[in-house]
Amino acid sequence: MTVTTAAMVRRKRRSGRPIWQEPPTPAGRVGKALLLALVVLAVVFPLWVVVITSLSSQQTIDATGGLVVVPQGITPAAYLQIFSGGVVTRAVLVSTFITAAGTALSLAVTALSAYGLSRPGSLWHRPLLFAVLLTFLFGPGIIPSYLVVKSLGLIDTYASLIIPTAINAFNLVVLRAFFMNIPGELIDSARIDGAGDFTILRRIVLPLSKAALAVIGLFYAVGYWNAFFNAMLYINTTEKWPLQLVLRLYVVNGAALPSGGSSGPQSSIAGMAPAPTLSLKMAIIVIAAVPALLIYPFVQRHFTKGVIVGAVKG
Amino acid sequence: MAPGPGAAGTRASPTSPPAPGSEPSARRVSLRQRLRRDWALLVMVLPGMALFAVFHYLPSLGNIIAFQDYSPYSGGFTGSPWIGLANFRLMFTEPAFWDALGNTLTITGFQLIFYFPVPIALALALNSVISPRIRSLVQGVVYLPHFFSWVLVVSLFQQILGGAGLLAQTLRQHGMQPLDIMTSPDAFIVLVTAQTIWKDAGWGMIVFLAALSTIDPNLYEVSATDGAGRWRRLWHITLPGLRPVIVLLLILRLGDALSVGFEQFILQRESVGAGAAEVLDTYVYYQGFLVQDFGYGAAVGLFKGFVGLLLILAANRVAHRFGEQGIYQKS
Amino acid sequence: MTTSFSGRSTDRRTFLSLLGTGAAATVGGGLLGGCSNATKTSQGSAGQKSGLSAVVPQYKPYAGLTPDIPAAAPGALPGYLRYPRDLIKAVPTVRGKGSELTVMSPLWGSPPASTNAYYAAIAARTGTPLKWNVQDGNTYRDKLTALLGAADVPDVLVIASWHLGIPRISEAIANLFADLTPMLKGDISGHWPLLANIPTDAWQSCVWGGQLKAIPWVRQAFTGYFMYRKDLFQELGVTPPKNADELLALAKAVTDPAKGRWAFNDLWQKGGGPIPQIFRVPIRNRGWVKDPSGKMVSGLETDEFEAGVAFARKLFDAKVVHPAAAGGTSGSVDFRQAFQSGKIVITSDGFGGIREAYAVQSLSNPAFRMEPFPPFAHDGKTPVVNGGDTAGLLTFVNKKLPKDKIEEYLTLADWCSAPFGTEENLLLTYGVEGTHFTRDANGAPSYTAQGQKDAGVPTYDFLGGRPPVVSESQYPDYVQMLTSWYNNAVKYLDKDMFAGIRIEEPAALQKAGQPVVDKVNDIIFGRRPVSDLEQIRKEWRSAGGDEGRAFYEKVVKDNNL
Repeated sequence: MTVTTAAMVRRKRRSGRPIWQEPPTPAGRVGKALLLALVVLAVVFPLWVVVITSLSSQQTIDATGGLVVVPQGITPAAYLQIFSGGVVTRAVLVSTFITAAGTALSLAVTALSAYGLSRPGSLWHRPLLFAVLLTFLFGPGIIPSYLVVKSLGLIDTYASLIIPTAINAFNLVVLRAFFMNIPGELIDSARIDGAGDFTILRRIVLPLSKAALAVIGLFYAVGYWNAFFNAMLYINTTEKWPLQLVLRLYVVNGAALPSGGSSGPQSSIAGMAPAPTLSLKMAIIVIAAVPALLIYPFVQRHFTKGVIVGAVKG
Repeated sequence: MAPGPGAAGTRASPTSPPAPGSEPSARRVSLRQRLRRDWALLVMVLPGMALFAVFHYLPSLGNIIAFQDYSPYSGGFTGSPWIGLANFRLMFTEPAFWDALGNTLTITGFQLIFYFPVPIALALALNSVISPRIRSLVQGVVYLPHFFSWVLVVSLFQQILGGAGLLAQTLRQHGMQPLDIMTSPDAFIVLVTAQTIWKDAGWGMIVFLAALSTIDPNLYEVSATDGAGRWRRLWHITLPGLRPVIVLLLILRLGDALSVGFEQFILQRESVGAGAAEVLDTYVYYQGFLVQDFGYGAAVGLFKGFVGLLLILAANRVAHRFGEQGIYQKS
Repeated sequence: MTTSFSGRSTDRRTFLSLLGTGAAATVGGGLLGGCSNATKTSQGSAGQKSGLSAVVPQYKPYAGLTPDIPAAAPGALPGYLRYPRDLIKAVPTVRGKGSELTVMSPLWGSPPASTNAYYAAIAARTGTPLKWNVQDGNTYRDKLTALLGAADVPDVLVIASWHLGIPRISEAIANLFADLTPMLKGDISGHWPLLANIPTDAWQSCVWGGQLKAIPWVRQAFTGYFMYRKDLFQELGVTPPKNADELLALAKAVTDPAKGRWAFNDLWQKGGGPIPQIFRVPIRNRGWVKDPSGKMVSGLETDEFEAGVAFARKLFDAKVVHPAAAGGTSGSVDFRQAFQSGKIVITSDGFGGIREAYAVQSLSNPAFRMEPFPPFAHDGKTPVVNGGDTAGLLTFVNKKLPKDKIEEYLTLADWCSAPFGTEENLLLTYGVEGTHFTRDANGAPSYTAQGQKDAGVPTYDFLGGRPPVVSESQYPDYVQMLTSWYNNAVKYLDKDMFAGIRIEEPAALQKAGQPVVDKVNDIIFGRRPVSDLEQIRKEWRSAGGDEGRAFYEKVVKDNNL
């Protein structure tokens, strides 16, 4: 019977509304559609402006005096300039590696700790949890952090971009809350069957927490992808720079070069117009946000309803 | 086999039946027994705790400089002269500090009311959308602004709502007076909250979507067949299902009550004047910059953490009173 | 923060000059100048002016290429109307001994590969290869804080003058970096003729506690002025003003909100902008003047300041200020773009800003013309043009480096100081012909794609100092326009009575600065009445202004100024 229920639920979902749910009222439908359209518009319009500006020529930008709304004279110059020379391409690879390796490590460590602290009444879990909480409230300064990383020999290594930030108190506490939400019967019955805590974590808790793991994984991944401060502090070799550090140089500096000196004309590349500063900045923003666009469907896939219920009945 | 903590612990969940080998009657379990029972959990916690210890606690010891006249060059952490609470006194004796603190708390309070519920509402609204395609499309779009820097967010607002922006120019061309949105000190709190909603509501929604996915759909079905309407189901099933996460995030936000963001404020501080836009972080930036001292910065950090800790403990206690888990269980 | 490298920027560097606050700019701490403690109750400290000339190199101008337009006086810049064909070989031999040194330097631009043909060519030419560690110039201060605090510094370290505001930097400089005095004092023109070509005032900015600690990278003394769109002025039929009333009338004439055009962005700029300059508000001497009785008076307390504030408020009330700038200098609006778009027609910028604007606009809008107003004063009488510290960047050498390696580095720095018109300068700026640049029919070099990548971003350039010149002959009329402006304005260039004295102000005075900036902005942008100025002065005096006055009176007395 449970099997058929699950199958029915799945079929119902494919057809949209479950049979027990009343059909939406026309007013509710229109109101909701209007609201969502408004929300989407509020986001999409600025996005559009950013993308169009990144593709605009200097003339178009000069004409509007800033961000461009109506496309005119579309040119990929900004993107070409950013990807010319291979610096950005290399940085993309570095960042991808750091994000992938870092997220995997962080998820593993965080899931272990979150489960370890999630069993009610376990030994020392309260002081440990309090210790975690304190890291959320009190942070170290730049100099002591640098000294620790340096004394571990991590300066100018990729590890310095991963290990110091591998665990985050906020993510740990949130994941733990999800773990605690898993019905106790499930875990207890596994224990009756002779499962140890490692088995319970692997076989029951993790499979039932895919949505939470996806979200926490996303938080970590975005954190690693966006991080530049530690790279700025710890990395000396240009070739090891992650993307955000490279992109910042374009965003903050644009095409502007130092002045007041004596070094003579800092002209552009022979025969090639430099991409407009503003389009460069916008192109950077687009490039930096593309992974967010790519990764979201993979996260969202896990937001399916009823995972836990199937497990209980099964 | 290692007996489960949930079974033998002093606070076994009431729903769980006693596991074999447990001693539910024993109020006190010896440390050795608890160690034998919980060793696996402690092993699991070990890597995370080691990371915290090395990369957080160890360097955080450096915060003792809040009580020192610290110089990294002559003295260092151990040799710098102790000056007691002078750094804190410096902080508390400035009237401008209290103004900034007041602004910060006002903004935190305002945003707890007008920002905090928005991601929840957004998640609920999206969750009620039946078409999976529309749902995932909207989700994917609304979370993107999170990836914009504050500089861009503020300049987009400026471009659209500012005194020379799209709205103002349209009004001018129709012979109307443009509205003073970006430079009005009175409207500033609304402006920054609107910016925060635009940038982060979609991002904040995600964790609630994940929480929604853990709610048993059968509960809805049973409830619906019992005749409960959509609002009753929302009230009696959805919100209780989200409650642990909502409470947790609320408590964590309180722990961060003295931070409302730095960049957003420093970017707009001059547009509305320091009277409205000075928050603790910008105040410390200007004062710390001018006073030029490491110890002062550390003192402010400790103060913020301490206030956060008090708020978290208080909020946790309130949560327990309402029967919530909060951030950790009561003793 | 967007600390712009080019001339006048909108950061706190500018307002320091008024109230002498942000020590970030020209002044580090003066801890070693006989100051007993530097706690937060610091009473301030100042170095000594006497004896400065004894520790810096004797100025021996290098006889280089004769400029097409000579400078009228020290401070003005000579001009070159075309890129010279016959270059001087300033350093005839390879002088390095092959030691590899590590260098860390700020970077504004996209990072070159850590090994490239440009680095290799210079290493071959100088005989001293460098291992470069370039870091984002905008977050450089944080990196420096960590490195200095951990005493983990490379052999050679470049620091921008506005990074000197790092807490206790003078202690770091004393503890971590070598004293260059024994090697560089006196006449060094025999051994390092190009270092001897660096002007004395730039060298004097590199002295801490009576020791020469760094090599300066030289920038021009003019910090910035009104810049206007000459092409739009001609279109609108208006001309530059000769006094404040004309400026206001002009602003009203060019403002047209319906067309989205306003006269200005914020030109008060926390007291460091061109409006205080035309009102002769004391920006020099860290914002202090000595009145006839010998009493020190802050710029804030002067009638000139009040008149300037009142005028700035008048501009705001006349609605000739761009609405996005109404409230001050917002970090979120790119007023350079607004200026290039003609949304504002008058702005304030450094002189390097002209070149940067031409680099963008000469291709997309050939009619674009950006020029400084001829210097003027609000009353039509003698104007004052603000001058600044000429040591823009400072290069320090690690104390742990043995003496022979320090000397080898100085030889490299000498090479890097080669002025315009030398073969060395061409290699330094453009790299290797064929690989990094090609020449057009007039012999003017321009980068190849690889050249832009390797040499288009200054690296070696920062290691030496050379007197600045105007040589951007590719832009029409540019060299003539700018050199004639300099040659005229140099007559009005302000001199700083504290030049060469490293001053650490009393903490109370430093702290009193920002509130004044905020409150004066409130006046200028209509949030408070002008009559509040008296109250603001009173608050400032008790918050630290009077303490600052006593401090500066002592500095003046001690140095017989």
